[in-house]
Amino acid sequence: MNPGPVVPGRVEITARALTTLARAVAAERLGVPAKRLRVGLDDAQGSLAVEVTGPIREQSDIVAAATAASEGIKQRVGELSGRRVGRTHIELTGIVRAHEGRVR
Amino acid sequence: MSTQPLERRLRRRSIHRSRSTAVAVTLAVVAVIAAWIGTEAVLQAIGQAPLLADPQTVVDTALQPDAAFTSIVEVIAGALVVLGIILVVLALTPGRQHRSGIDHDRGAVIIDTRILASTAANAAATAAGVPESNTSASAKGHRTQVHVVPLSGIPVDTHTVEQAVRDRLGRLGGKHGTAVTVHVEQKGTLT
Repeated sequence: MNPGPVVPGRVEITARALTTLARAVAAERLGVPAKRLRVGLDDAQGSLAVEVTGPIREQSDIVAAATAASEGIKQRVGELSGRRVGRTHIELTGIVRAHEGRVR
Repeated sequence: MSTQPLERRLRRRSIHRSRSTAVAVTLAVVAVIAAWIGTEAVLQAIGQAPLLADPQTVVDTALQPDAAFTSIVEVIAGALVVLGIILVVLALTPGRQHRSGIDHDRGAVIIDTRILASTAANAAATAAGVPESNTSASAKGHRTQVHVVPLSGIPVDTHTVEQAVRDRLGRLGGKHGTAVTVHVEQKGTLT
């Protein structure tokens, strides 16, 4: 997007696409289905601010895992969208069991 | 090139407001007063009755004012002060209109200032990599101010933007693009 190689026109990423991207990344890092996550994007001093609300996969150290996930989300979203991510905020609302067999 | 001075004058005439109306009115008033004083002087010299009033009597009355006369003189003096201020302002301000001259090999080319502003905004948007709706610019005289709202997560380099705007406006020639200020908003937008 920077004026490097001069190609007429420009690439635009809509806010919805960014949100969906962030949600997919968050689902991958937290190990839960994407539809159980709520993701909001905002601006923090010119950088992206990601806010994730949702559960996390069951494991021994949930806090450490969430911290790692936060870091991972920040990096991966930055890589994929080409935007600088300023901060990631994760709000855990529950736990998802690994083999939660839903028979219905 | 014999048309060069003419073109320069045309350009100046298109960019700056003319002062000829003010000059003509002032000169007409001065001429009328001078003619009156001249007439009275001649009438006085050949011993005829004065046309309106003898200038000597006018001066004498003015030097020994009574109450009613003083208030009239105050009103007249106030009006003259206002007129004088108006004339001084007209004379000293450049009287620039919302147009600008640009270099062109043939003829005098004048463009509206808004075109300058949107050119600057366009150059800034391209340099900053933001949609054109995120930039705005205002131009006044040779000064151009550009305002950029960045996309969140994409840092905008003020210097690069300023250089781009300078380059683009510099192509118009003259003194365009010499005074450019770029202001980048702290808070960005998502799209």
